[in-house]
Amino acid sequence: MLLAHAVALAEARTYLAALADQAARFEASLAYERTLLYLDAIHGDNVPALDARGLIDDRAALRRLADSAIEELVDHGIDALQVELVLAMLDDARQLDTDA
Amino acid sequence: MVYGENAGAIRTELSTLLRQHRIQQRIGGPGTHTVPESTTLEERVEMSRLIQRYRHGILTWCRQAVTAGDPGRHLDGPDRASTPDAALRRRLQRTLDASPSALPSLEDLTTAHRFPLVDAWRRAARAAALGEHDLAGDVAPGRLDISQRLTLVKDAAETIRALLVLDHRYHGIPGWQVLRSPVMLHRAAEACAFILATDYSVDRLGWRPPARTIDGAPRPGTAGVLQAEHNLLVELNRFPTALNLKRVLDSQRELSHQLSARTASAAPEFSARSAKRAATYAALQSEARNLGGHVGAGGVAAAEGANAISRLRKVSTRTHLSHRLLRDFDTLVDRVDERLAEILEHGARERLYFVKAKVPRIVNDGQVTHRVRERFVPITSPVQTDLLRLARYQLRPSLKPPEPAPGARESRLELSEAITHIPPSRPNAPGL
Repeated sequence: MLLAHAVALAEARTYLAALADQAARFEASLAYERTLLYLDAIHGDNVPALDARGLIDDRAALRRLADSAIEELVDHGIDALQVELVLAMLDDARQLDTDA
Repeated sequence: MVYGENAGAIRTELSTLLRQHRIQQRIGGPGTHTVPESTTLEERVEMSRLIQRYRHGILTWCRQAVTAGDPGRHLDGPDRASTPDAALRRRLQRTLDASPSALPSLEDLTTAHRFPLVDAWRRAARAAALGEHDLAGDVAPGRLDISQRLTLVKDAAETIRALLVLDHRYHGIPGWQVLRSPVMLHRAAEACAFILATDYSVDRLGWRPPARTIDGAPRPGTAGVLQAEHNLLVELNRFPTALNLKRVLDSQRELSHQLSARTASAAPEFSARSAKRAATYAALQSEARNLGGHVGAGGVAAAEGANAISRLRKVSTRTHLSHRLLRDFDTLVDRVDERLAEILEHGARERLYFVKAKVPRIVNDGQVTHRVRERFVPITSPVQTDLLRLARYQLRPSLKPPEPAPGARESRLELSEAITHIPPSRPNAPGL
């Protein structure tokens, strides 16, 4: 894993964890956690650490940052379909979160 | 079979043997005018060797019993403080090393003997052989609390005392070889035999046949949820990778949350427990995000966790959950919690799970593309979060100790009395 890939992945993981922590509904928190688990799984659990402490508490901004970081993974050799699935899961989680 | 049954059988047979005197006559030897000699010297030597093999089997069980409960047994050595149980263990090991006998064969243990005395030895040795399963099951090292361990040591010490009394009494049998340094072993056993140990809950522990998964089509309704949760528990016998462990944590979090919501009005106590469990799993899931570890399996366990959730979702929220069903859930989730706590502690202790450290710096190795240096550190290192604390103090259920088996105290008292038993003096011969 190259540096740019690791940074994008670490960012994506961090924003997903922050979203899970800050979700307004239990179901949304679970959905973000599962998106994070899926992201780890498609990397074979060879992923850099995350640290979700001290991030902004604007969930809409966090979601945009997570989207951007996940989309960037295609440029680092991750299968585009897998990335689409992660984005779809994130979208579902977002839906649950905004329904609150 | 549990520990109490096997240890109780050993005590019963030894109590019987301790009340028997005139040993030569009981194996067909000479000694009285009224009963003729019925065995040859060679046959008595053979019986003597057989009994010594049985004695060796029981002593081996005693050694395992004094070893089993002690989590610090590997520290035994000249530098370790000489606690009574450590001294007994050392002394017993020397006695066993010096014993010329071997363990009884399967044939020895299963073939009944025509003399009741030899057969009582056989039954005691058979119980000792069966008891070895217990000492590797629930009674395995590190699984007992201090009072249960003291009971185990005291039981073994009493058994050794009984064997030493018998050893002394049998020394006249042809071919009998007394145990090495009996006085030293007796002292070490006495030091442990007079420990005050009254926690007989250990009697309920022991070996149990391994649980099996409930296969076949999913059961309808909530029975299907129980089926999946049971299968999850069984599948957790295989150590899971970190990723699969996180999937299981996720499934248990949702399961408890759903159960809590469904029982809020009908069973508020159960609902509160489930809500607390869901909160514990949420904290665990959060702390486990940086957990890594590729050793193990756990894919089936994760799938069963997902099955439990999907089946519960299909059950109508208006379905009444009976108290029996909730009790079954309580039992199952307690065991799942205990098993997951064990997995986390085992993973940390054996370094099968690691914490992914933050990306600290880039390796400048002179190449165009630079790799991020990653460090994987043991969970027990200072950077670790609250994962182990949560597993130890919040996840692990506070299980009630099992009730002692009926007759546990009486069985021990009987052996103690038999050891100190003095045969009634013979009535004076009638005068002429």
